[in-house]
Order: sequence, then structure tokens, then C-alpha cells
Amino acid sequence: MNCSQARDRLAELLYGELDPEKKSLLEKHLAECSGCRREYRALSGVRQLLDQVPVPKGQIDLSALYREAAQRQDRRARRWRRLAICVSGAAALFAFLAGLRLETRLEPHQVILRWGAPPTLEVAPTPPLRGGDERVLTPEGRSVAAVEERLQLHGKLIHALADDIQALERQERQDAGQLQVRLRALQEQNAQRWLAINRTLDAIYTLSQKGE
Amino acid sequence: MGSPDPELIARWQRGDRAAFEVLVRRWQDPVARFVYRLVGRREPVDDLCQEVFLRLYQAGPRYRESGAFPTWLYRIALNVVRDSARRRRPLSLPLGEREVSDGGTGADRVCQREEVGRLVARAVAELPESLRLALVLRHFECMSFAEMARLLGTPAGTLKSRFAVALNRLRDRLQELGLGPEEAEE
Repeated sequence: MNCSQARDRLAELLYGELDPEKKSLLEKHLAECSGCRREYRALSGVRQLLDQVPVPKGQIDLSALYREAAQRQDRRARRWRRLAICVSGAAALFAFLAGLRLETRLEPHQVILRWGAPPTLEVAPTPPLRGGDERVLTPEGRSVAAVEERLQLHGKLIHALADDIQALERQERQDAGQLQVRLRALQEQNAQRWLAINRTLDAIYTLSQKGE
Repeated sequence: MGSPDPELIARWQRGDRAAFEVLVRRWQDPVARFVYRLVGRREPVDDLCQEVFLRLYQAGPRYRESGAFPTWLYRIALNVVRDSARRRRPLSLPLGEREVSDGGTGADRVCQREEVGRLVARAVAELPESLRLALVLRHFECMSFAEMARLLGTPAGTLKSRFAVALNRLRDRLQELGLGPEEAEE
């Protein structure tokens, strides 16, 4: 055993922590080495000095201890109550804002603060659905149904207009046919009259020729 | 010899306040010694001990029979001392207290011995916490390194090394204060 190894184990020797084999090796070294012996004596002196440290007595005031424990319990309970109130307040505020549907938004050159449902395009009031056909719909569903209903209505109007136009065309065609028939009759009548006039003229001319 | 600690704790947990008071009376001196050796000053010891037993009282319902009661109690005391040390910086020894007068006889020697003891306590308190704990638990509380390892959660081998370092540092510090082996032999 060299001095370095010996000095590492002096504290263990001093406090009886070494096994018999290591202890006898170290004691043998100490018997031969005055430097390590001096070191061991110094540590032994420290141990004796440590034993001179005063030994204070404890004085626990039990009534003060119970009082303080009760006060701390109260303080903790108060802290929990305050925390519970804060959490409930925050939850109520959150619920209120959620009910209000508050929305804040930052946009270029403006801050938008809005509550309630988001605005929708103004639509003309639509006639109510037929009785018994009403269903519970969301606002979005309601507006889609209204648009579909209006589209159906417009389709029906277009079909009705087309029918009207076809009826008018049919009427016009009938009127035109009647006019053509009448025109032909007038033309025939004119032609007959024209013939009669010609005949009259021929007769007058013949008579005048005879009169000359 | 009264009831053993586990029995007292069980009674206390069932609401028997007298059992708690027996525990306090049994352990108040060991806790005071432990606290004093860690802080190195007498003045704060009473308040710190009061705090230790207050925390023990509050933590009592949570105690389970998983470890030894003294280990649990010492851990509470250690936490109280650590909390206290965080609140105030440790003071080095005032210059006036570093000189130990040459002893006369009788009452002078008693006073000198007390003075030496106080200086040694303060020198111990100046050690870094890891070294101080190893020294206090091994020397004053006579704990084995295995018990210390359980209390501190540090390997026993590390604690042995710390203990040796603590003794050497303390020897140097005491020599600076004029407390060599000759003072011990008186």
C-alpha cells in the first residue's frame, strides 16, 4: 500500500469502516510511514473537536404548532376557495362570450369586433313551406331550402310562360289562316266584280259604238 | 421504553393526538441536534425544529409504512434547513470569533471548550452542503453509509468519498482558525 492509497482510507479507518484485511494493511503502512501517521493524528484530532460541538435541546411548543397548523389549513382552504371562484368566473365569462359568439379580428386598417351570428346576404322573404312540410333546420339549411324552393318556383314560372307563348303562337297561326281564307274570298269577289265591270264597260262601249 | 414509532404513527393517523405528542417528545432532541449541526448556529434551531414538526404534523396522514420513520423525519428536517438556507445566505465566521484564547483553569476552560465547540459547529456549517451532510450524518448521527444512501438517494461509495473530503477540508479550516490537534487533546 502506498501513501496515496493509505490517505484515501484514513477516514474509513478512523470510523471503523474498513474490513479486517484492509485495516491490517493500513495499520502496517502507518507503522512505517510518519507522514501518514501525522495525517491520521490530525484527522483524529478533527474527530475529537467534532465531539465538542454543543448538544442543543429541542423545545417544541405544541400549542403553537397546532395553532399554526390550523392557520395554514385555513390559508390553504381560502386559497382553494379563491382559485375555485376565479375558475368559475372564467368559465362563466367564457360561456357568456361563447353564447354571444363574440368574434374579434384584426384586418388591414380595421379591427373587427362582432357578436351574434355572421351576417348573411339579404334574401327576399320566401313563401312558407306547405303546411306539415316544415322541418327543424339550421339557419344554413333553412337558407338552402329557401333557395331551392325559389328555383323550383322560377322553373314553374318559366314553363308557364313558355306554355303561354306557344298558345299565343297557335292563336296567331289560326288567325293568319282565317285571314288568308278571307283574303282569297275577297280576291275572288274582286275578280268577279272586275269581270262584271269589264262586261258592263264592254256593253257600254258596244252601245256607244252602235249609237254613233 | 414506550411504544415503537410505527405503532405511535398508526394511532396518530387514527386521530390520537397524544401519540403524536409522544413522537414529538421522543424526537425533538435528535432533530434539534441534527438541525444545529447543519446550520451551525443556535439561534434559528428552535424555529426550524418547530417548522420540522409542523410539516410532520401536516404530512402525517400521508405517511406510509414503506420506510423507516427516522429517515422520513430527517428528510423533512433536511428540506426545512435547505429552504431556510435558500432564504438567507450563510455567513462566514466573524473575525472576532476566530481567535481562541489560551485557556486558564476551571470556568475559563469550560467557556473555552464551549467556544471551541461553537467554532467547530460554524466551520462544519461552512462546508458545502453535500460534504456537510456526509459529515453530519456519519459522525453525529452515526448512520451507516447504506442508511445515508437511502436518506439522500446518493450511492454509498460517493458518500464515503465525500465524507473523507469533508474531514480533510474541516481539518484545514480548523487549522486556519487555530484549532489544531492540540486543542482537541485538551
